[in-house]
Amino acid sequence: MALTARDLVVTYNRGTVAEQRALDGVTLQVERGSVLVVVGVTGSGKSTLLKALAGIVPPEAGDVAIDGSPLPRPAASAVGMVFQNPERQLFGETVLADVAFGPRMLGAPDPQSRAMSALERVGLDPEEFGARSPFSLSGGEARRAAIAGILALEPAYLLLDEPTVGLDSSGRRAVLDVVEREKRDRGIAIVTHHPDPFLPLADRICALKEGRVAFIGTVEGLVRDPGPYLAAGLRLPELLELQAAAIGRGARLERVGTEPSEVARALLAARGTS
Amino acid sequence: MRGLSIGQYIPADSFVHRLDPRTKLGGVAFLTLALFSVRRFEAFALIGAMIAASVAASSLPVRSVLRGVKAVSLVLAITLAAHALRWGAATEGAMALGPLWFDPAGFVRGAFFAVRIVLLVVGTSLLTLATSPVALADGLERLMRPLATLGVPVGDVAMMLTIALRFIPTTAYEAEQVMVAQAARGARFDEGGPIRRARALVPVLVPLFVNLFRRADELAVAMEARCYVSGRRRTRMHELRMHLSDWVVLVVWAGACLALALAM
Amino acid sequence: MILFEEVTFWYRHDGAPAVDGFSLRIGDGERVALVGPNGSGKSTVALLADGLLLPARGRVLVDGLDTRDASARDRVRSAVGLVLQNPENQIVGATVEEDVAFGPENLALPPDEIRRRVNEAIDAVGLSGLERREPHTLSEGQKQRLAIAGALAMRARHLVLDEPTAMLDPAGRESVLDAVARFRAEGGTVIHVTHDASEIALCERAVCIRDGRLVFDGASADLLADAALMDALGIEPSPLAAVAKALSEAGVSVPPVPDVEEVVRALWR
Repeated sequence: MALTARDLVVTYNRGTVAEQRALDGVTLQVERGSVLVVVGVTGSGKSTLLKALAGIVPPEAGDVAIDGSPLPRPAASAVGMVFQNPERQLFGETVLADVAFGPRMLGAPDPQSRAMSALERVGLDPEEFGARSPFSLSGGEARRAAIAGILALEPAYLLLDEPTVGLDSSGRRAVLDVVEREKRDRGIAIVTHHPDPFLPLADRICALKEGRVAFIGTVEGLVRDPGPYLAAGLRLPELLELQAAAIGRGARLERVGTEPSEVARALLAARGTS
Repeated sequence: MRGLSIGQYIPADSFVHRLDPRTKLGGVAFLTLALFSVRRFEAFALIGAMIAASVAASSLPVRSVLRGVKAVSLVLAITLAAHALRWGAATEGAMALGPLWFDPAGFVRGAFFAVRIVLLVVGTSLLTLATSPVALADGLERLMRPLATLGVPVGDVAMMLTIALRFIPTTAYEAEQVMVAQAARGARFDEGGPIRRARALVPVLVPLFVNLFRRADELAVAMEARCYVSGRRRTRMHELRMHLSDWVVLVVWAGACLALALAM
Repeated sequence: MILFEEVTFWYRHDGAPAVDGFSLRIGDGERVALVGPNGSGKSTVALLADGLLLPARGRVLVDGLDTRDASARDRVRSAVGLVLQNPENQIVGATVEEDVAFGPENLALPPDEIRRRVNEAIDAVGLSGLERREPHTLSEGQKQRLAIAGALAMRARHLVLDEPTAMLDPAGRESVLDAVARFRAEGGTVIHVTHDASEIALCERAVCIRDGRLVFDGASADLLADAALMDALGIEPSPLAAVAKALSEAGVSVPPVPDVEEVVRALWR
């Protein structure tokens, strides 16, 4: 089961001087139970891809399918979209009311208890935070409350645009925990300029260049053949750059690591053999 | 909304664009005076010619100058109808038109008012199309400056206006973002009657205002950090300067308008 | 020189002080990372240094001028330039050049002097050619450089940067850090609020603050090598530093905060 994009083409301001092709034939899948990390320089089409996958931007060619059938309308309960800085959309009188807004609008049964469970899943105790004003939360808490507002829709797929931007390390870790937990039940796609913290969670990496897929594959595959990724104007995350450099030196890495301790062990082992 | 232009200003480098905003503001003031003083259609013909010459000197597309007229077309129609149509055959020469009576003399009167509205709209459109909002704010500030001696905070009002103009595109963009994001949570903005639609805007307006207040807070810090002190004298990099051409245009234009106002 | 002497500051009289008995001396031309978790008081320190907040106790001296002295306020605020996290919210002008001119206009400088400063400042941050652009059409990185230009036009000798790259993409970040480095190269002082390990590494000195108190003041290399302190301050260690730590525990000699090349060389020399 997967959220699938096939030959997606999206052009903004069609027929005007500002015409701009944002996606130029993108094909990829987000499988349930997996995380896809999408990277690319500004203007490469990352955010447009997410919006197209969420049914917010209609493609002019190609299609998006969810588990083999077309996207429902509205798509919100099937594909949940968390925009960049989602805490800027909080408005409810209480955190609980805000999180329950989505399920209520979509006529879901018992929005209240859905909201409670969503808050729990983002690590905000409903007892403690439910009755507070969303505007009294810290940056990291507000970010998680906003994510809970999407999780309360129980989407099968979750799309996140720069979910950790502007957070300090504890806020970032809390968001990573949410991704790790939700990955079990959902397919997740994350768009980011800073893929480093997501590497341990990423099943696949996709690099976009000028609206096309320049690279898609595992972290392992990326380190063994970084050429197309680099050609998209991107820099490898430091840990991967280190391992690619070691391989370039002739080291025989058993497997590519995504955490420092793992990488150190792999490098030491490779030093023994080379 | 992304392509939203501030006001309706169309940047270009024409004679009219280059005029000092005060010249253009004064020109519109004299134009208004003339339009409301004259009593004869012939005067409108002359004023129309003056405006047409200005439009030609502005190198603006005629269509964009006339767009404002389209916007007031309903007002024009009502003005004409109110003067030309009567319930009873009260006046001489009136013609039956179903249950109503058409009054030719009234029609001429209505047409007179309608032409006045058209000329006024075209004249002010020319001002806002050929003058950037910031220049307009600057011009207004300079014209109001004498009021500062009476304690009117002219400088602060002008700064307020400039900042409001500066943040229109930012706010429009943000409103669009919030709407898309709330729609992704199932919000609907296009269903139900007016009350339901108004209520549907709450999830957009609340975050929009909260964000605006935060923005205002930060902007105030940034302004103070660069030595802005409310009410204090500032200079401007682009000091408005009346050139010879400004004085010539203003004197000729004002003279023509006053002559028309007195003679016709 | 920026000098904090036993500075205490409250936002609310009934609450805990945001900054508590804080002393610090930053010499001309230093580049200092100001580090601390969210809500630690580092932004308050940034605003105190610019005279935008005034100490309740103690004093802040900027180039010898007391920030509480109202007659020195313009000189203090001109000497210390401020760049905030949110690029959009610090731009006042309707065009790039009008925004850069905003500060000098507030100082009531003559128009030709303003023009000269504006041109120099726009040139110094690499925004030449964009003078007439409306700010909302700029990239985020360009907006931050515009904010730096606004400070340069005030002839700022010290820059206080409050997480200026937090919202930027890598290219934008690099362009902003380049502009900061250029300012530094011309003798400017930089106080850089950040929790990014790689940005801390760009500064020679790190000053750490927690609950309004100074908890570390020393070489940033020493901070970056101290995993426990970094964690307490909310700094994600650079992954390479973590690799280096694991390697050195295994007996490989490698610098504590290495780059990729240094790790590879340490392993295969």
